[in-house]
Amino acid sequence: MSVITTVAREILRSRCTNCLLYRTYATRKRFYRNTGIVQNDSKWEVTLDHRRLKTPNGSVLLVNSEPLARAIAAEWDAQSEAISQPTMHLTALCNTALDNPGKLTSHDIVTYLLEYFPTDTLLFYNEEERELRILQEKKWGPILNWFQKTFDVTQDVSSGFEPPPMHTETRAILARYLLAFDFAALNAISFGVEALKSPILMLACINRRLEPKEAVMLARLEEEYQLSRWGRVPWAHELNQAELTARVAASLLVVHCSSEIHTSKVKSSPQQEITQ
Amino acid sequence: MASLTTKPALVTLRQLLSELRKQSSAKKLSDNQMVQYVFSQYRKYQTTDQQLCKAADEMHYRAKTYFDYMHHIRKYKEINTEFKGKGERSVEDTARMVGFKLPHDPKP
Repeated sequence: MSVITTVAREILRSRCTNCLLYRTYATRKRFYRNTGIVQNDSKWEVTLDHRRLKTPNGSVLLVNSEPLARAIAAEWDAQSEAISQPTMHLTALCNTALDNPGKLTSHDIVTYLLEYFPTDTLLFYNEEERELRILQEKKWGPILNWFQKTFDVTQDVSSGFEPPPMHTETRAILARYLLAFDFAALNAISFGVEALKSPILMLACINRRLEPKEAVMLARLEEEYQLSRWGRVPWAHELNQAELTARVAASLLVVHCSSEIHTSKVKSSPQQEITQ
Repeated sequence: MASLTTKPALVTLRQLLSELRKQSSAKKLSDNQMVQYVFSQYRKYQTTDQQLCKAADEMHYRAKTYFDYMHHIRKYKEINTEFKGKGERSVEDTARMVGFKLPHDPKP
């Protein structure tokens, strides 16, 4: 009996990863009315009515920055009848950073990202279709140039199936850059990189060179090119686009909120200065 | 162009508020904690949104990202509910599709 249940569970699980559309997960009804935040020392907690929001491991969800806590509270507030946790990326990112189910360290994530780097989408140009190649050079070229200029590195693009070589200096520069982020931000970066399939696009987003929408557009460039020829299907392409953009935006919010420096100096507007 | 009173920044503000209105459960929009916070931040960075004096449009970028997040999550949910499969058809439905009826009291 138990063998059958485990087999059934395995089948269900494999189906889940293959197609997100038919994912079946236990849903909970919304059990709270209002959401809010409270300050706890220098950190922030999210409250659902009078209860404190907790991570799956049972510890209290503590975040470093106020806007992030507020956004999580707003996210819980946006649930209508059932709580659909798979669409709550901000909560999920903070949960993962606190619980750390993979038992990772910052160094593990940085190594993973550096290994990901040579297989970046932007480094593989199409070689069969001329039109697509021209489009890729036009759209990806500026971002690649920006990357090389900002980080003061040179990066070749791939020819054929082989990933292009990555210089040791590039590795060192990127490792130094990435290690400056804290664990929650690194976790979010790797989430964003996995959505975009491109560390370069993620770096461009972190440095505000691109907006999430534009980055997703560039990551899906080939798909968009084919769509312009063969037509769009809302339940596949638009769903995918919406999902990716939400993921990238969520990871960017976490990165930008956790790396912000609080300054107490507020500049007053010119009108206020005149009246004073 | 780093002030949060420029036109694009105000457009983002309106988009944010519209999205919050669609998703918030509070009756009055001004009761929502996020709305209050967004307004306070917009007022605070009225003159300039540069915190580190190197990134232009820092707060505006964040506002846009937050709008993107909320907007696309909503869109994702909408598409998903619209096209979500209803599961398998029952035997009765299948029979009706081809013009058959099931016997009323099937005996085992």
